[in-house]
Amino acid sequence: MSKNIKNIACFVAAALISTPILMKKAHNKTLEICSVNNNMDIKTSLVNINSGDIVYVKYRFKNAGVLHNDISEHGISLLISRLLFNKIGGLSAEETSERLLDLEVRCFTVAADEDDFVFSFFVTKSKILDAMNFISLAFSAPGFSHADLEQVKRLYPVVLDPEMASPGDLLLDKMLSMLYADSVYGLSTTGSSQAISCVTLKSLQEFMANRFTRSNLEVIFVGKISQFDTAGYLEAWGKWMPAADPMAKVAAPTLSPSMSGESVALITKSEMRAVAGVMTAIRLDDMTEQEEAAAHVIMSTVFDDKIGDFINGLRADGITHNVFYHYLDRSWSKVFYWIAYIAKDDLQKYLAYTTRKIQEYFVKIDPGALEETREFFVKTADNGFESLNDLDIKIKKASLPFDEIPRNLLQKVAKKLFDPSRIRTVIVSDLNRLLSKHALFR
Amino acid sequence: MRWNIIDFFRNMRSFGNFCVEGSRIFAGLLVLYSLPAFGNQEGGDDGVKELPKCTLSNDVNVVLHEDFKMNCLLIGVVLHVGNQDVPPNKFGIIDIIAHNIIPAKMHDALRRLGITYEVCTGDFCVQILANINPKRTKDFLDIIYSCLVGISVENLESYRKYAATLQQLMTCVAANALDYNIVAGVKFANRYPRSFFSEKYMDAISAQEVENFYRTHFQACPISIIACGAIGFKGLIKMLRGSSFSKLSKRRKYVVPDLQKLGSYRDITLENKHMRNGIIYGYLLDAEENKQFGNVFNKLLAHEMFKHFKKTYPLIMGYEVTDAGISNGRLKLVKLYPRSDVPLASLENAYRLFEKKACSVEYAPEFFSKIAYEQSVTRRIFLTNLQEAYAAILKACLRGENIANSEATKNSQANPTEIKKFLGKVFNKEKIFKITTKFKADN
Repeated sequence: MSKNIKNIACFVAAALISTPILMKKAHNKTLEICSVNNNMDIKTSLVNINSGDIVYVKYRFKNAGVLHNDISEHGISLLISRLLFNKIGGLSAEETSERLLDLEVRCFTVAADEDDFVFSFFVTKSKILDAMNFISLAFSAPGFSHADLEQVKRLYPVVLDPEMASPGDLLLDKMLSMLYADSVYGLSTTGSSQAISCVTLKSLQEFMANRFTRSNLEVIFVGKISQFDTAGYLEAWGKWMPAADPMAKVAAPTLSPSMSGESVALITKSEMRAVAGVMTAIRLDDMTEQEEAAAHVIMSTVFDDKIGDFINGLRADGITHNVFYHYLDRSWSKVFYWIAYIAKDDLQKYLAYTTRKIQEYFVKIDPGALEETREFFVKTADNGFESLNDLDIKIKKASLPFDEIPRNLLQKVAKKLFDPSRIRTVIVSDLNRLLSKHALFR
Repeated sequence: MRWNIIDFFRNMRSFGNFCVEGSRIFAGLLVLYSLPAFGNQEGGDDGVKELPKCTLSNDVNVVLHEDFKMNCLLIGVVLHVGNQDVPPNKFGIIDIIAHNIIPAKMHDALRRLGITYEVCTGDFCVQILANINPKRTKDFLDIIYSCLVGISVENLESYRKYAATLQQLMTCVAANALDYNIVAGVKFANRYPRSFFSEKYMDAISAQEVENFYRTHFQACPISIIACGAIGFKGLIKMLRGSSFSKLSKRRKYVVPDLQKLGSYRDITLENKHMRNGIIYGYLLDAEENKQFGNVFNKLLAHEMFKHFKKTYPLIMGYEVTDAGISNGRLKLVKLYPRSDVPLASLENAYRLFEKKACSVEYAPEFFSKIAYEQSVTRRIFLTNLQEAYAAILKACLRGENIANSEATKNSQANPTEIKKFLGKVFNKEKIFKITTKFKADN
């Protein structure tokens, strides 16, 4: 009997030890972002995966991006990103890169997005705190000289030269000004060279003091670290930042719902020669996650570059084309658009075709095709991710509820996406005047 | 294990026996779980180990980089046929096959499986690269097989028009990037003008020529399968052998391309209103030089260039020292982007001075141990990114090397005197090309 009890005890022990380990292998791993509580009042997230001794860290200062700059210094975020990429804490550029190397920091990125200001890097676990402390000098003790500022200003105008801008950039800039007529989102994403020329060291310092604060900071860690350790890093690191002041929170922009009156615009670019570019877009605000998932399903059904209904029709009509769809995922509003590059001789045909298709999709899209696409997205979400960087964004996108979209929601969102009264079109071509609207959109 | 489930409830002794056997089973599972083939998530990560690989009976090569972090599999089917195999006046055939014919056959089926993919063409290979759930590996391979067993050239006319439009478009978007329209041809300088103006060659390609090219070059071309991600090696081979891939006809043996015969000095200037000012120098290292010094060449040049141009000559907006695209890593590019107010002649003079200086600098051993240290950190970082791991393995495959060797661990131990000698040789022998681009307004 005692032998049996011993055997039973061994069995239970073996089962208790091995089952969680085996379940971890067998379980179809779903990555999650979890919040980390900390005493610094800094919004912190952790994606806990086994990445050996490498950790990915990202700081995101909300509403410190280009589109949230004051008009008088529109583009200052871009200037700062260029300065900080080169020099941190008063060190020279060479010293900065040597120091980052010593700290085992790799893929150090500084970017002024449209909405936010982002720092990110990879670092080995043993050096996380040292790396975070060093990089924090970027915003706590910038150390730029007048010469640094003048040099980066000198390089700035090259970015904005419209003669050298690609057709895609020209289309997007014009489209955004039409979709967000009175709002910051309608501003150019590359700033204004006139505003930049007026930026001083003092205005740089003021911007950084006001926009790089605890109240609009989010930190994301990706790697094999515990919540406890993550909180510890925050608490050891974040002391240099002033305490979060709810009143100092950088406000979200006010987005006026109005769009420009013109529904079609033309940009003339002589280099286009025999090619025309046409962007068609719509803006959607305040979407739920379900609606966003539905919008992706619809756009992919219609515009998938191999089999989408829109593409098939172009082929059938013999219209030479290169069409792709895209979407702008800004914090406070989304834009769904497609760009078509076509032979200029086909421009009229293409525009007439587009008008017809928009009216068709407004009424109905093939439910079978929508369902196939929806299933494609559900399966794709299962494919996993290829790298640690931006895992938080990838997880959010992959976890959109594609498996919970009711059919009637698809048709409802389609009506929003293809509302002819809200769609805007921009054409870039070597034409220097638009044909009459009647002739173009026959 | 012999026990009777009914007796189990009646007899404690049987239950005791069951427990003994059950414990052994659990212990056995734990041991198996610890083996790499079953997906040990704690597998060694130093990046220098030789990756598991094998050759199937039909000479398809398979290489795997195991990584179970994110439950994803990045798999590339690499067909070793590329633009270098195309007759000079038929540039575009590869694009027709790779971007038109192959996707038309496989797109629907891949979409139903939820597989996202892209097809990439280059001078040495065509890749079908997909991000898939590892469970769908066999289905994916079956679909690719169906694309490789034969083609029919439909819609050539519409594709031709599409490609011609695209080519025109590229020339106007190229204004935004110094080397966008150079990249396609930079690896083979003598080919460059033809790839740039390929729209007129596209018109001359017939359906028969496409089919003939496919039969000659694709049907028995060497194939490599590179997989990075959440699959064990035994599992992968089992799926390959169980899939239609094993039915593919025997492949030709892969022969590392000899770039030397294509490399002779070209001094090309492109001048039109689409260009920005800039210069690209191309250096071709032989295989042994590349093994010994390839990595050091990139790091050293970048380091020295930083000091030379940033401090002494503030002439440039930027520079880049890089391997050329997805070539086999032996072709090194130095790209210089001057400020718009800087004459190109000044930039060239400054670069010649730089070359002289780089050969004469004395490097302390500490400099190279720093490079080795940086490489070891970078290696660990790249192992967190499947795409980077894939790219490194692809380069090694194209060079016919093992990934461990291609990490160039020897580089970091290179003797400073040897490196100085090497640089002296590289900068004195003929460069493979110099491409200058100049902005010129229309007359």
